[in-house]
Amino acid sequence: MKININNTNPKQLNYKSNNKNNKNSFNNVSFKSAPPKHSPIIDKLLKNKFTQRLFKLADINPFAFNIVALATTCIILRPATIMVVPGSSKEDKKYAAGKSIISSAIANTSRVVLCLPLALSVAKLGKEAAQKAGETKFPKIGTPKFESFNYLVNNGFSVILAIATSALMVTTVAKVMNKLMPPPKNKNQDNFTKNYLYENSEQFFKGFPKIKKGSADEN
Amino acid sequence: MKINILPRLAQTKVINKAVNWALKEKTVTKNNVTTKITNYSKMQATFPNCFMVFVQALQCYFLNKSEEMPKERKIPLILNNTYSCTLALTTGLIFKNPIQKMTAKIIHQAETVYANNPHKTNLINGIKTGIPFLTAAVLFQYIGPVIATPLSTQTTKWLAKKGYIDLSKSKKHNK
Repeated sequence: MKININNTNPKQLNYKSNNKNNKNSFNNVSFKSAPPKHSPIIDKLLKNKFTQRLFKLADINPFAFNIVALATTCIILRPATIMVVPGSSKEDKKYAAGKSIISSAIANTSRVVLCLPLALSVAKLGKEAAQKAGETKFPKIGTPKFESFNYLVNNGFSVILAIATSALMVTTVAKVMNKLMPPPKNKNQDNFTKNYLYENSEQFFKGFPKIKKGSADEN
Repeated sequence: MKINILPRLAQTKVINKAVNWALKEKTVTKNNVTTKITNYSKMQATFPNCFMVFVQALQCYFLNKSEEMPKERKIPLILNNTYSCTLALTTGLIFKNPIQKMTAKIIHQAETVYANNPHKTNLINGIKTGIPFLTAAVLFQYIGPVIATPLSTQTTKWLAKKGYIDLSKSKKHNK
């Protein structure tokens, strides 16, 4: 719709009269009635080839999909946003970002190396037991007993593993961050070489029992 | 050499008791609808949250204990862990129903979009299994920690102002 500014007719500038005249045209564009059920953003996402590949991966191997999701959030997205978001000091930001990267790397590698073989072996034993007739020592696959056994064993192992990984994570974070950002030096650091030589001189003089430390001062 | 650890584990008394406990059934009536709930299904719902709290508590314990970590960094990191854990749990509880509605909507939409796709069942099964993992990853590993970092630094500043912590002393101890 175009409105001529030069038009001096008062009826056209008056909004109420305009609305009344063009009531039919406004009724056509109604926002309340029948919103579109299919949102275009999700439609585009579903048609994208990359997301389709991810969904296929989730169906075939949910374990791998979980690791991909965790790794992308922890290694790329989280540290990037932590560094951008204001309200915290620079050192805290760096430590939080480093912690997220290192902890996710350690947790995911441990899952791949230790948890996955255990899950696969439990499933294999369940399949072998299902082929045999009668009662077996191992629960058969597909039964509720096997499902609960599988869940208990896998998650119990992950609980035990979490103790080791969290301890490892803290030490690695401390070592890496101390190398990346060395703490402020003390004033005594200037005499470092002298002190070092003086402390290690005892070991050096052990080979020469006759010569004593500070003998030159006495003479 | 064949080491049969897992078949032996399946026969032990502790595991047998745990499995039998998990398969116990209970009848629950809600709104005149009777449903059978096993302990296993309850465990599936509660275990991930408990595991999350356990891991965060362990990290806090080891952070407090470690000698290599500089003293000034310990308190903000421990606060960061606790804040991220609580924020993630609360947001998960609050947005439980909206997330379920969204997943139902997406699955309904996917069925129309992938109508002519040869891998239709594959893709829809993938969406059903993948979305819970994605929401968990975003909630627990992204939204909670990102909000927690500025909060933790400001609380440490506040604590230092009140005199509960001496940040100036701890810097001198570092070498």
